[in-house]
Amino acid sequence: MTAASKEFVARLQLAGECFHIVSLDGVLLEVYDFAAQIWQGEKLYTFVDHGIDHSLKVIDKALEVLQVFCGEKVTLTPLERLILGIAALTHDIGMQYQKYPKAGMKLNARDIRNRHVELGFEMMSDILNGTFRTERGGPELGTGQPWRNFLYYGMLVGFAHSGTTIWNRLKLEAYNDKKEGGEQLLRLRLLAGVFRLADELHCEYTRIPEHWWWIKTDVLTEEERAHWAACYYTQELRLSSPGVGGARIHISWRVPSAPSEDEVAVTRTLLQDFREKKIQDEWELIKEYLKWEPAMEPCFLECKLDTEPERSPIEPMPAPVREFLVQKVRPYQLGHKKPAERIGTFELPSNPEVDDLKNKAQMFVLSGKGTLTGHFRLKTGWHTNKYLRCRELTAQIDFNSRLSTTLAKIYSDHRFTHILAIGTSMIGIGALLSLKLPARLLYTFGEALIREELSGRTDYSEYERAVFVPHRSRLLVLDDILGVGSVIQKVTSHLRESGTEIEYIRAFCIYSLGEAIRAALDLRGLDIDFLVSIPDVQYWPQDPDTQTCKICVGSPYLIRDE
Amino acid sequence: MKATKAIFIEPLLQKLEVLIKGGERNPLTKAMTMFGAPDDIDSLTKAIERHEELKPWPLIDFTPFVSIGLGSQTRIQRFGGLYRRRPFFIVVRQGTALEQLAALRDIATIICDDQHKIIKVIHPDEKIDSGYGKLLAKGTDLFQTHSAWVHQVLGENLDSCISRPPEGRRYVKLHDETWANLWIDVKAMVQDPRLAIFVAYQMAYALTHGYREQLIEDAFVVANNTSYVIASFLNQIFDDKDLVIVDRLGVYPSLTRTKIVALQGIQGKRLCMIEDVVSTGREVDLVHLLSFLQGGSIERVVCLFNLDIASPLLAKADSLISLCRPSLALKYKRLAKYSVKQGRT
Repeated sequence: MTAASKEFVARLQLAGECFHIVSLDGVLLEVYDFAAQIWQGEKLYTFVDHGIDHSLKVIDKALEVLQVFCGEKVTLTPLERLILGIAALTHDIGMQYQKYPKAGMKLNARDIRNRHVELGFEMMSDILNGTFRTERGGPELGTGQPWRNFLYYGMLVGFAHSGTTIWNRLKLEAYNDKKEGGEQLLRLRLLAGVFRLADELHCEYTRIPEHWWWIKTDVLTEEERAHWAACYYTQELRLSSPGVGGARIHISWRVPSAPSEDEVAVTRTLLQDFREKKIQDEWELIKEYLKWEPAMEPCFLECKLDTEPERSPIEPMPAPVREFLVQKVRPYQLGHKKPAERIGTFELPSNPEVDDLKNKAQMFVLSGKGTLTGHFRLKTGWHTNKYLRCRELTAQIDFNSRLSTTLAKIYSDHRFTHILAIGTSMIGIGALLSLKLPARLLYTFGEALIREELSGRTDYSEYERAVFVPHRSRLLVLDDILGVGSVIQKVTSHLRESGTEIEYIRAFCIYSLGEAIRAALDLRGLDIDFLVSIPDVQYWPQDPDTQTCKICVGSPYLIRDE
Repeated sequence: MKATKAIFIEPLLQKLEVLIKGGERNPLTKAMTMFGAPDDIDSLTKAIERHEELKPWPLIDFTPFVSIGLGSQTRIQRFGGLYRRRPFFIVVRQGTALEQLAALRDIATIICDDQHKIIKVIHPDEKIDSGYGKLLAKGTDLFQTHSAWVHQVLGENLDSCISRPPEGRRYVKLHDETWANLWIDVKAMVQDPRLAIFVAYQMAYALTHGYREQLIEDAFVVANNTSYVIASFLNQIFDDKDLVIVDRLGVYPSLTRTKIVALQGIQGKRLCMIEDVVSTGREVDLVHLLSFLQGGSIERVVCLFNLDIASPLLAKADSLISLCRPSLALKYKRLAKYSVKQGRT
């Protein structure tokens, strides 16, 4: 027994603890020795540290998370502490795949990193099957009962730290909270949630090797580079408790000793996008399991970057990371000053594909299929001489498909994290676009907005139920027609009023109707792209000639004489 | 939920996903004729290697393909090497070029007829257990095995989108004022485009009996937004089909407000309805009625989840295709305000 392994057992307070006749500290020590052998001669030195030191740190963070969230309300049983220990020691062993590969299956470093959960799970499965030594030349572990159960539960908790395959498996009824062996309480979901958060919290500069020259090479993709750089510039992640059931994470960060103003701003961008936001995103998943524990209700997490960075004698940001942030992420972040010409409404730049789509959309209007002519009062109170309906156009597969492909090319950078399709017309296009861009589809029933308008309600609770936009997202709003801009304005107002911080928002509409009206609207800060402009549509705020007017409440199908 | 051990890998789905992502037109035709590029073989190799367990061997479904290009045939020969590392079965149709190729490369092969019935299983080393036992006996219907696998995959994904009543309550009140002990949020599920395209692919698979029959209905009908997302991908697969949207059906529909949006009208058309969840079949019945009033006829209904509470009354016999029937496994209960037995739905 080494000093380090003793320390590990001490942190988990397992000395002398038993489960029936099995000594739990003995089990943990064996797993520790096993993990130490696995990590001897670390193979992937170009990545952040995943060895025993990381395991120990994760244990510390996990116990801290529990303390901060629950105080004295939740105490882990010795069995749970053992499972947590096994999870910490084994959760990243997939990173050592090169040391224990499967016969005939060679993988490169990037594949190993991306698939380390899956590979680690396979390695542990081989251990449970007793074939790890014979087939891969690795060390062995006890596999009798209850060893087998301990290892299996530890695997589930540990390998749920990344991805959703194992995470979702824990939702099965078999993994409900229970008394294992009729004796000690075992809450696997709680452990998995705490462990996942703890692993996410151990992303500080201490995990980065001193010589990180490889970050400038092609070993990593743009996003991976930014991720590792975010670790390098993170000084510390501190947890504090503003009250039972919640937590605050303070991210302190660091910059080189004499940084320029721009360097500080770029580093801030990096940490907001790849640390603050990542933790918030993970939290959306994690809270589901933490809430399982009644003592944790209500459960919340706030993650904030410290206002000022610390000065340290460290390296400046590598050029490839800086380039990626400056060109792709930073222009679309909240508070970044956009060039003046970017604000307003824009016709999509002409090219053969766009022109073809424009023709199709224009023909649809000219053919009379999509337009009603007369005198209409819109739901917003404005009057118009034409009413356009778009659904027949967007029900055409060919148009949807080509428009989504064209938009995917135009917005091919990393500017959007979410696509919000408004109303049935745009859902098809949004769905196809979400496959082509690295962005998630959100959609709402336009109907909910309309009902709210008709009933004269001023709060947006109904809308809120219809769609949830995550904090700090970069949003592409898809709407079919930009008339007086009321729907888009309503969406943006709702987001502002609900306190959702949106980093960047841009809208796309197929038709832009009329010319003068949009200037009167408060659409500042929102860029709107459109495909086709139909100039001969007029809008006016009121009309004394109500005799000829038809009321149009949100849909041309609901037109009736006043 | 009936468990099955079969595991399928679908090269056609992988190819379709790439083509749709790239904005290609006629993706299904292209996927069927152009499969075999280096990237296709690479992604197939990865899919095989990603397979966690050693048994049962995955079944690589080549049945939709009649032939593949000469260039790609040489690439497929790499399968021989792969097979020795990680064994699998290739499922091919009788009389296709692939059948001869597989036999030449000494790969385990399942040959089936046009009705998906197994005719022959070629197994280079009979002593090795593939993990299937009697499941691959001669005459077994592979279409059913495939359906059971789809049911299982969807059931696993369903776990992530189930909402249960808050602590201390046994039931939640649904929009139509009935009570249920859980709520399936399919909307959350199809927000993952890869899952949505998987669902669309499997619906198309079921409708065409494994992409063999091209005689499907004239247009797809959807009556809610979640179904519309699925139908968008389905419509990409069958690029010559119209999409008919039943607009404003809502919870309490009004025939004067509801409108069917169709490009050319639906008079005299044969329609196929895409539905996310069928529980009592109310929405299916309403769409049947509306289509009938406008001169169209719904021939088949394909749904993602069927909760088996009641059957749509107006649907033709055997016209409802369900990809997943999870109610038993979920212990789903729905306490309807008006029951079907009382005739007051």
